[in-house]
Amino acid sequence: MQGYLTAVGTVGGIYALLALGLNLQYGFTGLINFGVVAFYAVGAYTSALLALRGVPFVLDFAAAAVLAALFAWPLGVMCLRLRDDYLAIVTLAFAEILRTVIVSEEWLTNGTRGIPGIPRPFSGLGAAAGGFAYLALVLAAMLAGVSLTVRLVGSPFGRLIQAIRDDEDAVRSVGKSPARCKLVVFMIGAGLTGLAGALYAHYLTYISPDQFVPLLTFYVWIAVIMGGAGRVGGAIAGAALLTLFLEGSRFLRDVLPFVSEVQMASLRLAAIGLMLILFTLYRPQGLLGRVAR
Amino acid sequence: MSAAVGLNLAVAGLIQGLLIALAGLAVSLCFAVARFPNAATGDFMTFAAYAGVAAQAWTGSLLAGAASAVLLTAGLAVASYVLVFRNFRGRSLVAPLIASIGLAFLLRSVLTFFVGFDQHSFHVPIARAIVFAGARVRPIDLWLAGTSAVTLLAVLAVLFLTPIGRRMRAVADNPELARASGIRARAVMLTLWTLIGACSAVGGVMLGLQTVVVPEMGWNLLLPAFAAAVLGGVGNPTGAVLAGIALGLVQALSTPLVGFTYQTAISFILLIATLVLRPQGLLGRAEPVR
Amino acid sequence: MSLGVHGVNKSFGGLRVVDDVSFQVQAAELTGLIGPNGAGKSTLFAVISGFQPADAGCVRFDGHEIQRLSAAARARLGIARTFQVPRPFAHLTVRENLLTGARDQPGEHVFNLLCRPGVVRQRERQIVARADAMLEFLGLTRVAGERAGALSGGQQKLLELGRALMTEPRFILLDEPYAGVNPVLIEEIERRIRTLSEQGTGFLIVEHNLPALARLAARLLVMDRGRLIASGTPAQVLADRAVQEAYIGGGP
Ligand SMILES: Nc1ncnc2c1ncn2[C@@H]1O[C@H](COP(=O)(O)OP(=O)(O)OP(=O)(O)O)[C@@H](O)[C@H]1O
Ligand SMILES: [Mg+2]
Repeated sequence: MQGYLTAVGTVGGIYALLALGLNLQYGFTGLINFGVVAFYAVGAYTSALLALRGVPFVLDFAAAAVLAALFAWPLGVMCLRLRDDYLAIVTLAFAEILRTVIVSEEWLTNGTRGIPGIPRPFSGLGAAAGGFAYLALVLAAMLAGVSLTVRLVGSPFGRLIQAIRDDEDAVRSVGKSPARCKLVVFMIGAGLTGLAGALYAHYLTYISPDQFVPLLTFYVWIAVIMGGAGRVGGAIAGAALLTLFLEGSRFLRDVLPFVSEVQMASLRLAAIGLMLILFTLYRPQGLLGRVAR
Repeated sequence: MSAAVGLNLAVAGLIQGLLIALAGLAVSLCFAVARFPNAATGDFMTFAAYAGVAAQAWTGSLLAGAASAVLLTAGLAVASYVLVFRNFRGRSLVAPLIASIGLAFLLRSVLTFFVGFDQHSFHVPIARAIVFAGARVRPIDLWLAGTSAVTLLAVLAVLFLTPIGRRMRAVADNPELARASGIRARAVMLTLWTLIGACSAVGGVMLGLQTVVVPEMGWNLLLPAFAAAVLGGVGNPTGAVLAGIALGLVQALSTPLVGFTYQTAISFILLIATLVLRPQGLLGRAEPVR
Repeated sequence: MSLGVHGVNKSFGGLRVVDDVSFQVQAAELTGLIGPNGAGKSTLFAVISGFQPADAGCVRFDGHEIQRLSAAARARLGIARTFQVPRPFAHLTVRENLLTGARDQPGEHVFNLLCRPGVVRQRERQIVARADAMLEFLGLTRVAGERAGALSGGQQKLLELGRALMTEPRFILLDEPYAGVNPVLIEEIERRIRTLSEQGTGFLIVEHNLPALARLAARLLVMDRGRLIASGTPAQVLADRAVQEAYIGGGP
């Protein structure tokens, strides 16, 4: 039981980190990043490949975040001075292409067979203590993400990005250029996402392309939307709700024996789809928020 | 590459291009009039393919199967407008965009829940390939190309030759002005979504006829479809059609160079290149900024 | 210091909204721009401030051609504008709206947040003081902490003005600053505008409240159907037959 809770906590913490990244981009700045999973994959593969070549954990975690942010840079430069939806299309496309690259560039990524044997920090402590220590690491990263968000959002820079979300033209009219701020936010968010990817890779110790499907992007989206976009606590609450939902659907499978495992996957997808529709229609401010966006 | 190989690739590319053009036209219509990139377009196509297979199995006729697919998908598209997209009027494009992703997932999951992940296929009479100047063309491919081309022309004809099409373009050009001049939005929107559904349906059935029917088939065509819509100029349906055909040809003809796996990467690269060099699209006008 | 437009044209889908307009406005001479609904005044503002590219013609500020500059760059150069329909940052507080207008806040760069927090804090204190003074002047102190989206239309109009003033402009384009603002406050704003004008800030004001504008402006420009049809002192212009006909004849 304790092992289970540790595992759920770890996965939930990683989702929270992802949600923090997207909340910074979408919630506070209004950037539509439909390629969350791509930056996540960049982080995961970067840290896995480095760790397997003997790079110390600290460095490969850092490299994961930095490389994910660097991947965001050209995309941001190209799209962020254009209409909002271009970023959505391009990031969605980027995620698809990246998956093709991961599948076909076997020399680097080992293709569909994936990368096994990624070392996990604290594994020397034994299963229970090691798992617990890893959970602590994930939660520490999450708290760092929260504190980063709080400080950014409360700063003059944070004021400006929220102004951009509300009205870009008005921001231009006071002499500030939205594109620059959006690029910075996009990269910071991607960095957080990459860090989450690294934590995930080292936790699972095995990664393969089929773990990085578009659906994952929208898990994070629904977390941010449920929790309330543009509120710091929203990302955490949303990630908790998402984890609850994903775990709950696994238990549901046990009480509904006539539903096959494959059908359960369909049901989960249906629920995510339906939630995306219903929340945008009826509660764009999230489950707990009061202010309409 | 030899002339025959080149010709074969060109034929394959043309058919692929017509398919992308259908999907791209559906995306572009929605982009132009309803003003958001509809990510459910791909899954409309998937839905149509499944509906077509089921109707063919039931009636025994491919034509009846295809016709019911078109009707059902048009109905689905109209229903999605009435139940979902209509309610986003006056809100930023983010909301319908996200909802369209949700709709895509919902459609696909309902399909896979009831039908599973196994692949299905249309029953097509087996016929000999026609060899023409070294290029092998299956008769079914001729049918595919012909039907796609006719559908594309028909939709464009509705858009450019009928009164409702003219009103649709007025809304696309300037929604405020169109509203001010008293264009009845409802008829326009219903026609729009019928066209979107019909286009996607023909595209889906064609795609299913060409290969097999699987749950991800439509989603996988989404990227080239978006690329065609952007390349053709946002809100320029004719441009999307031309860009779609060109995209199919380029993808096919570049296969010897980049290999099969990176075919879709070509649309991505062209998409990016367009955004950098000519964000208004190859055939588009600049979008006013207010 | 002066602001000039020379042969500016702007069409929307075949409709010529600004038709070969040329004029020059001196900062020393507070100028009003009037004309019936749909005359193209706001569109002209958009062209001057860089929100709409002109189809032809050029815009000069201080003798320099500026039509290639972005809207943001023009604002940094000192041309501020307000929008006819207020565009507040709806989810920011009223005070934050004003703070966003202030220039030279190094804290708007992440680098400075990390490396020069002291400088950021110090500048923030100055800006907050200015914003509070602005709130006081606009009579918005009471709602300083409220979300701007919750303000009434008139209050948003004031906020729009305040935010533009926070950019320390050398030249201000005001698009109907009095619409929806109560008469007492209008006089207050008038006084403030006059003070700023005397201190050397240039003004070009679009306003349908002609008596109020006539009190303020040294010179009026009149547009009708995209064209500049008259200019002169308020008395001259309001007595002009063509102008009266344009107004009576109504819009487009
Ligand atoms: N973005 C646009 N697209 C198409 N037409 C536009 C656009 N902006 C303005 N117009 C048209 O240009 C004309 C002039 O509009 P403008 O807002 O400049 O007039 P105005 O003089 O400011 O009027 P008012 O006094 O009512 O504010 C109007 O007919 C309007 O419909
Ligand atoms: Mg106006």
